[in-house]
Amino acid sequence: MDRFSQGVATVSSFLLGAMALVVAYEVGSRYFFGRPTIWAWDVNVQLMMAMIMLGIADVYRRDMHIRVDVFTSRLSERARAWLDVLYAPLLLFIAVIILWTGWEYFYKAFLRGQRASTLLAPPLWPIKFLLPLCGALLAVQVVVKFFRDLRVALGKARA
Amino acid sequence: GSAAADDDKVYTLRYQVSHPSNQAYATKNGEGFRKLVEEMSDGRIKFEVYDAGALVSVTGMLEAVDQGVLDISQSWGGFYSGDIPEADVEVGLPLAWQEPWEAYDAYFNRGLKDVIEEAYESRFNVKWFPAIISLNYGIALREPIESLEDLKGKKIRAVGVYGELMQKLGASPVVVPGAELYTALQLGTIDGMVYGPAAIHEQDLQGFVKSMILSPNLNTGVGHWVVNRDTWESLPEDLQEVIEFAAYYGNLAQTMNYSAVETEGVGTIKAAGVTPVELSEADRAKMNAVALELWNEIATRSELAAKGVEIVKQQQKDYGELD
Amino acid sequence: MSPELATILIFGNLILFLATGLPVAFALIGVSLIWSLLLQGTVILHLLPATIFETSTTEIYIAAPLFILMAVALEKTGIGAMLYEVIYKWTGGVPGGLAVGTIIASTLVAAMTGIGGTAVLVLGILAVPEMIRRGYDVRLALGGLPPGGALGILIPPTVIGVLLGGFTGIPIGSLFFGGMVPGLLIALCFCIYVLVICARDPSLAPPIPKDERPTLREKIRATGLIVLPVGLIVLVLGAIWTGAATPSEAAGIGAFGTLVIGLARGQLGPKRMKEVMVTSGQVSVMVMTLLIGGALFSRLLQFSGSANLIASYIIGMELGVTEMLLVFIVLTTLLGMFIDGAAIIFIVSPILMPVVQMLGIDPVWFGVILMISIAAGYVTPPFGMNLFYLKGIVEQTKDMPGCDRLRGVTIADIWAAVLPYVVIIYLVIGLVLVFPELATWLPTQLR
Ligand code: NA
Ligand code: NA
Repeated sequence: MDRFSQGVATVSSFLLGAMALVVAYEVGSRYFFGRPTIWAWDVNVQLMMAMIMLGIADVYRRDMHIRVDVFTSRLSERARAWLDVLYAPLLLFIAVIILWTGWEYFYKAFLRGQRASTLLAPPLWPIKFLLPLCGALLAVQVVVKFFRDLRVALGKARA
Repeated sequence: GSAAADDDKVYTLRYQVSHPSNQAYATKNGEGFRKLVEEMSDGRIKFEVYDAGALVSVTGMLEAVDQGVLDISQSWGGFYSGDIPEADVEVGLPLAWQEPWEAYDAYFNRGLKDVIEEAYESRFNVKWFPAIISLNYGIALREPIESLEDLKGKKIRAVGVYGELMQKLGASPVVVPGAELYTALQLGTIDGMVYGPAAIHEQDLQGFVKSMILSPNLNTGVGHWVVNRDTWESLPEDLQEVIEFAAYYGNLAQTMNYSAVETEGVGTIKAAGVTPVELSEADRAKMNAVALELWNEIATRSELAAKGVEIVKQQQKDYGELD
Repeated sequence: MSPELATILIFGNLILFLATGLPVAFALIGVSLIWSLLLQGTVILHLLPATIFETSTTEIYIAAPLFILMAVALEKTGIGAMLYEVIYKWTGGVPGGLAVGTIIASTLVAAMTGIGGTAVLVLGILAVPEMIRRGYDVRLALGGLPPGGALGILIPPTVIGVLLGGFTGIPIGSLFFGGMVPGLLIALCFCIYVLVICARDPSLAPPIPKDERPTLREKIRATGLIVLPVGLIVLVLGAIWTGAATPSEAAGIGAFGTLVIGLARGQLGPKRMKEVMVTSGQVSVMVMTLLIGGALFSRLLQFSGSANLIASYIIGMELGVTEMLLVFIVLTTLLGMFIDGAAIIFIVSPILMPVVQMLGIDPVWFGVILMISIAAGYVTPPFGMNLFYLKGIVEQTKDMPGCDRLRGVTIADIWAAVLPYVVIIYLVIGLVLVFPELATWLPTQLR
């Protein structure tokens, strides 16, 4: 599971490099050949969305989302793990809401054939599908981390 | 009885507008509409008003009304051409309507209202009303220009079908969010924009504009109100009638007010040193030809779009503006 | 539920979540979802996907990850270290020279990119390890970054100024020039502060010992090594300043150029390339999740009635001009702890503008004070987006070679580090209150 999550995140982080390439191509094309592309903006919006949606679960797994640790840093490792265990239902709730509302957001766009209101007008359902996917990935990581935190909280493992 | 109990119920509607609260589209059309509804309903309809972007971004407003996140939105169809192909007809085909009464005639006497209504209401869980405004929609430029030829290669900010018009005139349409227009013009990231004089003045942009094609008017402009269908059906019939009346007839007063503000806007930007561009007869003919090409393209996008374009064409033929 | 009770419970709940160590982004999202559900039912939950989608696809936010990529690439290729080596060779005789250089750089980057967070992230990745490795005090190395970054809101071009003008009708040009004088004044005070404390206690920022100082020839030779990357940075900032490119385009060119230089010099093998991508991807995701949380929370404040409630309280207080402005400053600073400046404008401008007109307050004066307060909100403890970003940078850099001293740095250390700079910002706000000309003189000269 960890390797899967890491793999998804590694691939998605390369999308950032692709964004830089697209922008460089667009600006070069405009200034040196006087021909702005009509697709650069639409493509970059999709890359950006994919990078974030595919990355959130892995950043959560690595515990890299920022916390205010002024009080919790004084607690023991086990006490901190108990706090994380207690918050697991809230995080699962967040993940499930992203999954559910994201699915509706995607599904309506899909049924209606919604397109971006740009000249290129790409269909929007593929990037909107990333929302329920993000919710699902996050939900899985919340469950995995819950059991890991629980072991630490019960003193059966080190963080 | 129960009818009396219903009479006392106050309906509070979440209302979001697409334009900043100091722009004429928000002050004239929006406030005018809401005031009329609140007065005519004896306070039984109240609005919780949200500024542009406050609850959802402008491009997300139609989906938000569909979902019920907003009860009612006041916006501009050009933002939703990806959702509703007929939105290009809704906002006004390029160079079709010079004056607001022409839009009114097309919508209310010639059946365009039914066409656009079907386009929105068959796809989304909404009730739709047109909001006719009175733009002097023109092409504003950072440099003085003399003819359409001078537009070639210029980066022009334009939304939806007007972006396609700019492309056909040899310019490069670019998408710049409204909030970034000021810096984009100041720094020269764009060479110009398709915009109205009142909005230019309201956003303090006149200092960056040297010349503007004000005639022909690219379009008088038609926005819309969209009401969530479930909210609409929860209203008693008399309150539905109030909203209908305010949208159809009350809107005409707002259109007149908008005309005044827009014309003052023309005066203000001229006083600020913006030179109106006088196009030659040949340029005007070219613009008309290019616009007609676009109309025909738009007609191929859906059956309803074709129906809408046909209505506008017949109208212009009846006016003697089109062969 | 009355809006009064809802407002108290919403903020109480948020502070509880934050204090008990729930990640900030999830605290903001969690509170928003819980209270949306309680106040308005399930319908309003559909704001969540729309908010995520809109935030992720906004032009000004697309620039941030690209700037982060550029910074990480500069750092991992060793170009960043070379940059700081050169600054160190030139300023190494002055205690605190690197810290002053970093404050100037972060003010410059923030000014050009127009977003408060970018400079903290970009300069944080580059500057913090370099100062730590040269024996700088941890607080000195960290403290100037968040406040320097926040000045980007004040010094043009500023997206916040444009939004504020758009929403209130205050001429945007006046806001641009009005914010510039206080912004530069604050930056200047920061530099003076650093030089003074380092002169008094040189151990905070050890200067190069006299006999080890490089000769002029060595300085020039070292400078030759960084001509290319410095040229790139100048190109990026210059492109934004002159309007040749939008911030996101310039950021993209900067990132692309840095990668090309790294590849050409053989400083970017496949392994290091992967490191660059993964690190910048993680930092970007962390930042964007925070922005999404802030955007959602600002929407909760709107429909919970909290925003309107605060407005009616303020109007009901019937205060004089100065007292009213003080209330505005407190309100804006409080909101600035959790939500982005752009969202603050949505919330406060419809509340405050009627009051400003009623009291006949000069709108430019008011607008500039509002902008400085938003900047202050980013960095005033206990919470603040720029403080969170710096915490994220510490987490990213603490495992780098020579940076052991960053381990165990808590948010409380960051509070202590920024505190003197925050005091300076409030002193300047006080000056602008007493001398409105600081905000209004330049705009009137240039109109
Ligand atoms: Na700036
Ligand atoms: Na703060």
